[in-house]
Amino acid sequence: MHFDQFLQYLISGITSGSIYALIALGFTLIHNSTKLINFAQGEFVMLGGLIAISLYSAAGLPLIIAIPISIILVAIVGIVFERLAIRPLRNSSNITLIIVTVGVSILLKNVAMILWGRDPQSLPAFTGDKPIALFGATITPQALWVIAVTVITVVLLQVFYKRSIVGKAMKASAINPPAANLMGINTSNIVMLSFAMSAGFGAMAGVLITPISMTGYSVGGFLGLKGFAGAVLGGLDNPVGAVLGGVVLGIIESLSIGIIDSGYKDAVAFFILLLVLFIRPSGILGDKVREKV
Amino acid sequence: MPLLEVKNLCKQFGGLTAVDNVDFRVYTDQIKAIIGPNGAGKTTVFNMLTGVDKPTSGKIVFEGIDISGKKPHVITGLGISRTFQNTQIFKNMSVVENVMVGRHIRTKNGMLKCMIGLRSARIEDSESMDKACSLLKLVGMEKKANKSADDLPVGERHLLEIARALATEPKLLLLDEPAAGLNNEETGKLAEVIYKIRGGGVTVLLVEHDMSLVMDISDEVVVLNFGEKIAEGPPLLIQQDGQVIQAYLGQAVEHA
Repeated sequence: MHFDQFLQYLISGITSGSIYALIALGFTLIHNSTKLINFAQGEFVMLGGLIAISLYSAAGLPLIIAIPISIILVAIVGIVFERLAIRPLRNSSNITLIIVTVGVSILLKNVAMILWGRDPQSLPAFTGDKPIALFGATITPQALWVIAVTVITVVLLQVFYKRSIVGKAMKASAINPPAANLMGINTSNIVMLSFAMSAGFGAMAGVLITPISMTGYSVGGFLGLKGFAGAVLGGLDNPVGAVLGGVVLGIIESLSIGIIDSGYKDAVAFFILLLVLFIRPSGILGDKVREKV
Repeated sequence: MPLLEVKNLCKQFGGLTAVDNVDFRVYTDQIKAIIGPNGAGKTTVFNMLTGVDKPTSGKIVFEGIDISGKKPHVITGLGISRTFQNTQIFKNMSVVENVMVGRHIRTKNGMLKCMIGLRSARIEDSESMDKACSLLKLVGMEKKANKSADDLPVGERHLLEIARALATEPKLLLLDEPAAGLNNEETGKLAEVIYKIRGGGVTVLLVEHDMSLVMDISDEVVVLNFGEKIAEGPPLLIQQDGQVIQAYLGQAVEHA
């Protein structure tokens, strides 16, 4: 593989990896506050893209307004999901709740199919399609948007955790919920906040990826699984790890297209997921899992 | 009016009566202790006072408000805060961050403001930091502020929890066996800290096994045995109470 080819694969890997990173971030937020794996995470991505498309093409709003509204609406879907499907069952076992998230995923997917139909749809690129040359490879402006928004989101999230009391309260609730509750933190609101943030990040990923790869009612399943693989790779309880895992997964996937064959792209991602689960289930940056005696 | 009034408090777990018809009052600026042999129901009383366990029957009135069965964060908001017998610090966070978590309930800025980095949120964060540092100073841990809380020895974990509980600005502070695992020197320091806290206008109710500490610092003592109150009064009288001696000697014989 020549250097310019390698660079091209790397760029496309970082782009899709950024999308996986945003989705992975959603998995860690909900996992940290509830210990659940939210299998409806991918549907937030699908909804983000489709709602933005409707606001843009059907309602005629400019992108700069349609996109934030779409993200906010999906965050509200996240809140409703938590209030109606998770909170009433919060004393049930985790496996019950995880199955609830699978159910919600199927529900959202079918509602989307009824509302938006079966055909894939797209958004225009945010700022044109003219590729930019870069050391013999090219990068599209939309790919730059994807990477930049992901980086900014991750940085802001770190600032939020480090520099704000709400962020610290959220962290404390993840580490020791009963003690956090006794220190005056309304932990059930923190759970709701984590669902809203997680849905918002998913919607953001959906809006960003739509101009590149189109979207439709059924994209959520696969994107969700990729994000999950990224989160597991980096450490399900560590937001920084999840982002890193998502990006690494995107890069490996993309390079595998160049080295093996594009047909095996998805197989490579899930092979890595299995490998991590066998060798280091806590992920690259996750807390070491204590050996059970 | 007492700051805290506990009336006919009962708690049953299945067929077991952990707390049986307990009454007592705590007045503002008192240091009051609850003592009793293991399994007497002391921690259960604390759990009901802080909303962890719901009383089976009876009332808990704090500043004229019935708080029995209210949620823990609501009770903390009203002005009761606590520490834990088995310390419950937030691991993976620094010592000062642990204390700052206690400030959450007294701050107003939401998440969006924090993320955009609004001035008011930044000011609030730095004020919380200052407040947390001064509380660490009160318990004598200002030098460990930026250390990871995981690395602290047991004694300092108790002190950290006291600082964290004070960060919620309580009127009543509940200490659950704060001297557990401390040596004599550390216990002496703890007594000083408790006096300072009372001096700052916070009423203290503690559960403790260390009798010399209890007899030294408490204004009044409540004695529980098998979930029932068997005595209440100033330390000197409690030490001479026949039933109390019986309860403790009885236990000693069992262990022998």
